[in-house]
Amino acid sequence: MNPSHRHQDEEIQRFTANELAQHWVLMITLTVLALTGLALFAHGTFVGRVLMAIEGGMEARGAIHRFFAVVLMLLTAWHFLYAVFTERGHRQLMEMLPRASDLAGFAGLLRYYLGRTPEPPAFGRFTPLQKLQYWGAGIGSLMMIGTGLILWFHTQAMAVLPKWLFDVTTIVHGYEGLILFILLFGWHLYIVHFSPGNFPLQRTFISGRISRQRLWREHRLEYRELFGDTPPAADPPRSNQEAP
Amino acid sequence: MCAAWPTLVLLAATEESIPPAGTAVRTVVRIVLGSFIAVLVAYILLEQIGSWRRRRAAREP
Repeated sequence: MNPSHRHQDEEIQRFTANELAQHWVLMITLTVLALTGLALFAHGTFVGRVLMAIEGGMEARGAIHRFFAVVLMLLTAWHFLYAVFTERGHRQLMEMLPRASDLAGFAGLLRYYLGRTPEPPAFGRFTPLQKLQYWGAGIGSLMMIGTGLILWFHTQAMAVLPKWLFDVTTIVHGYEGLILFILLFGWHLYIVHFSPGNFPLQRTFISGRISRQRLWREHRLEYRELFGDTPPAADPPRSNQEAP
Repeated sequence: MCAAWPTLVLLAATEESIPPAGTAVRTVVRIVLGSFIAVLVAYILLEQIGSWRRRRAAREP
């Protein structure tokens, strides 16, 4: 599938089936890991007790958590192989790399929110916020896998690690999980689906497609690479239309 | 999968036996976490207020 292929007149294919599949597996995996992890993390609270009961008790919860941890490891390997050994994946990874211009872009976005500039900055394939979410989730997942393996094989780990490091690992795993939960289920969902112009649902994660109008608003540099400087036909009017 | 299940259950059952870390470490972690959440909430408020102001300005003649 050619990702830049125009779909009909209004939409273009932004993500391939492979990329969408990775996102779906990550979405399901992190949801289950978050819910089973939260049951243990907050086991003394009402929410924790309810989650623990739904998940079949302490033992079943741990088993489900470990099963999906293995799925996350396999997904990480899949994503690594995709990003390193396929041309498309490698290009995407290069586009995702943080650059100095992202700081200026983010500052410009804040100035736009504050009403200091009439237009938001022009972004390329990925906006600074998208890069922040990608690297936050990516590095966070790697940390969760590393610390999770130490906790899983704690008998072997205790033979070579000092007690304080094991304590820190326990805390990092719990709170990093909480940070990931907040980042993905709070902030990410807000930015993708609930922010102005996106509410109530942005369908790119289902179809992989994006309208030319949205591409113009949110990824203007990429739009110019594909279609030149001619803006698309105007959007149908929406009360909450904003960018990006 | 079936053979691995009892092992997973056994490992999960021992999870709670790990002693917790000191309160000082947890306090530092909670401050970092609280700051992180505050930044995210501030961003959302900033975007929402900016959006509201632009929509209000667009409605005014």
